Amino acid sequence: MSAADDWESEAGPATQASHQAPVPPELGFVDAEEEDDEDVLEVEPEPAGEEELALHRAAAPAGSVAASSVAASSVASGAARAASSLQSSLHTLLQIESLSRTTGVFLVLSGDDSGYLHLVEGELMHAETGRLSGEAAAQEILSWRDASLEPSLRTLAPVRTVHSSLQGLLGHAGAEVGSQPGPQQTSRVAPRASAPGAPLDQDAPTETYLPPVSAAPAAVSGAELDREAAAGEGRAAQKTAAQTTAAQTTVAQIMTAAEVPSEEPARASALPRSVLPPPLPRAERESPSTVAEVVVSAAGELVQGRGAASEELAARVAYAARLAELIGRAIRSGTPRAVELRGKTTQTLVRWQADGNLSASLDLPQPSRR
Amino acid sequence: MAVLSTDVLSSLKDIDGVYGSFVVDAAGGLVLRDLPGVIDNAALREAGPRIARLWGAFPEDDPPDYVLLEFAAHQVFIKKFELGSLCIFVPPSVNRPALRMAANFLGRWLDKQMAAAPEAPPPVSEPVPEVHPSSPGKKRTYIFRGQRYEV
Repeated sequence: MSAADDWESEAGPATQASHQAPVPPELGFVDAEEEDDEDVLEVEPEPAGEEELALHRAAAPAGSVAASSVAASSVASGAARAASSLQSSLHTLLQIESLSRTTGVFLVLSGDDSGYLHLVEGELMHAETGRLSGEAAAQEILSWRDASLEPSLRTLAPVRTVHSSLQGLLGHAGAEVGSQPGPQQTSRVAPRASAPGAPLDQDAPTETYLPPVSAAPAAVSGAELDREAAAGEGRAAQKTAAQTTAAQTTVAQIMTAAEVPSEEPARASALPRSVLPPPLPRAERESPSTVAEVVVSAAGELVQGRGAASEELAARVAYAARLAELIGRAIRSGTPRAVELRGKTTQTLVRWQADGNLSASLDLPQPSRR
Repeated sequence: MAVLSTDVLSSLKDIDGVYGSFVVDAAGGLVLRDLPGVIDNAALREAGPRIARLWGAFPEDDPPDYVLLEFAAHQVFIKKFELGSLCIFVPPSVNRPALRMAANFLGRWLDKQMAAAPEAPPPVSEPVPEVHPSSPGKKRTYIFRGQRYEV
């Protein structure tokens, strides 16, 4: 059993809830307008807790969280812990934490470097390394490659030192890395369409941050995907065990490339359209196909006609309307408002107008309205 | 001879909202009724022939299925079957598909029953005239030994 599994088994619902620690009353967002007038208290770089660092470094080399330390942690979100065992990209994890509006302190480890990111409601409030703090520290941390994100026991900083949005910092870091000649960027987060620094659109689907399928490190051939689709359609029994294993590996590769904690969005975005279930058939809309329309006066004269055999239709309408009036009078129901004559192949709808005229239409049959 | 009972029409009241119904033959003669007394047989006999003639308003090449008369507060759904017409009083909110299905079923049944007894249709059950106890009866005048009495 891996360390992540240990954590999953030990962390119950109560623990999960406690991870969303309330924001300390003394800690609040600094309004943009108040920023200039405010004396920003620079927080001294708090030295990294040696015990905590040692504990994290003693954990699995992949950066997974030790069970004991995670069980004691009370401020990190479940999304980060679950994803940390997958060696996910730092940027992607921070995107997830931002979208999850997480509150907590995270330890970032990259080789011999370490730093802390303080998040409140998904916004980066404070960052610190051994040498720097504030936005400088945040930019340095975000530039690290092969970094892992771990929950930390450290308390939230009481003062906000990072005033740029996390999205803006991520975009800036991504642009800097992209401008460098070497393949420094390890984050596979797709660049946002909006300008860096733009406020995070909470309603935007998270899939926009996922990399395209072609960006997957292990290219998936169409044949493998077809095999997986065949397995999904119940024809897996006809496939060999080697093919099944290959398909499972393919899914794992896609999932790793997508780097999302949830399975379904990754599947939906990574698999080709042929693998996805076919769309539901479009419901047929009731579209009355009118063959003819007439307006008949109270005296039975054709006032207006359109379509084929409007004269005959007018005569039939006048006759039916007169009979309907007599029937209504006989059964003490008054004058009808409308008459619907439904045949096997046609439908005639007659309506009494306010001016005494009759309007009628000859349509092809359509489903019953009620 | 098959006996047609008004009970066959009461099955239509399984459809929510159905007020009542009546049946006329191909000529418009009243055959059956299951309606409140507010609509008397005279009214139905007057309406019957016109209902029978309604089917003549359909095109010759289009066999009629039904006619729906929409009034202000209710509708009359008239279903044609081979030997007559079935007229059902319904609210506008009636479940039309269910009503059509029930009318189709009953129309086929009526065809069989009326074909079995074509020459002697059963008498229509007349509604019992409503008696108003509060209204005074007609007084009769007697003259007895020169005296006038009203009883």
